[in-house]
Amino acid sequence: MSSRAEQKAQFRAAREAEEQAARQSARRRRVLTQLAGVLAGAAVVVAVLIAVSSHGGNTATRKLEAGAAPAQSAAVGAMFAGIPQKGQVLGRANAPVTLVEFADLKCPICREFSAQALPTLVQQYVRSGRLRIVFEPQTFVGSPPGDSARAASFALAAGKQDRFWQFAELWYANQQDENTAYATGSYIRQIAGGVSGLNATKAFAAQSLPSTTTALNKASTLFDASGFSGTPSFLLGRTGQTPKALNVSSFDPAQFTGPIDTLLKQ
Amino acid sequence: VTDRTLRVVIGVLALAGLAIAAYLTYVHYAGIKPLCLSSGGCETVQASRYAKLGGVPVATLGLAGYALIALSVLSRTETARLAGAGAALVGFGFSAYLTYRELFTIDAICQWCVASAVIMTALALLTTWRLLHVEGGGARPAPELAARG
Repeated sequence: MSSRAEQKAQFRAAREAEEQAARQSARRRRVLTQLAGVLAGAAVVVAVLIAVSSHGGNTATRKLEAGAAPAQSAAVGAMFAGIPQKGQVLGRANAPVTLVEFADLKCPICREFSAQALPTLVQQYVRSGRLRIVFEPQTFVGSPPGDSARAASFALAAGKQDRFWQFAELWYANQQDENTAYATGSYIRQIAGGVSGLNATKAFAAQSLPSTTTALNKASTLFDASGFSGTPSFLLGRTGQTPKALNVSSFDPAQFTGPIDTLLKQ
Repeated sequence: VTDRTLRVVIGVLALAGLAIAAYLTYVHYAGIKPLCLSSGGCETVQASRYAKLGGVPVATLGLAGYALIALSVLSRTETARLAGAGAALVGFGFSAYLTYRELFTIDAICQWCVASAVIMTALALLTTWRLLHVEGGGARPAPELAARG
């Protein structure tokens, strides 16, 4: 009897062990299938989110075909027509308020400032002689290294013909993907061709002048000394006084006009 | 690690992420500057086009994601574990993309975003662990097994 009972117990234990192993195996398969499903689903959702983020709100310009005229050259010319400028400085020298803009020509966010806030500032404040804007070009955005510096040094060279702002704004209006090396000599010449009154050959020659390198180094030093880490960044103050950092939460013109109006009342 | 411990840790982390996302959502709609350790970094990131997705602030999307993960620990069902892991993995993937954009496109770092990305990474690991290693529903043994023997 006892041996039969033992046998039954052994059979039962063996059967239970088999059942448990089968259950565990089935659960493992089910869980791994679930994990694969969740991972695949998450990957699809993330891919869609990235696609929307990269392209959905993108206002980037179309590729500028070789030999084609840059877009918006007439609009940019009209924007600055009749406004005094000297080198990197836009506006009258005796304007009561100065805005310093630290920006990179390859930086897409800087282009957003240029498109969203700058036209209002130029039209309402610079044109009336109440504001001057100083552009301090930075050269660290995008890849490969050096591409951004080529654009910035040409803009500074264009500044020697008082065409810095037209070149920079036309550049932004035709800006390409920051991670492609598009700031070639021919591309720069193409943009320069859209700036009325700019002698590109002269500007190319001025690009390598020591004064251009000095201006780039000065802009970089001032950026670091101001404690900034990204572009665009801004300093704002009464002309002749030490400006303070202007931190904005968007490029709504009101983010700039409010502090400017406050300074104009002082 | 018991399911209870995992749920508590996941819940606490999700609430921390929820607080960060709520703060950044408030900052966005109030139009004020976020508190930031680096000069201008947070404002630059918040002002960038990557701060919105289809017109909706990404902080608001984060808010929804953290809320879903927090809710998933209130239930011990397999569906809740799947939903929690799914939300955390999506959050982790998108946070990684946004961190890449901060470093290589915007060239500015927002500490709040980095903190959120770290929390979401931890949540992705913990919710996946919970999905793999916790058995369904914390249920008691089935009656036929309990009665056997």
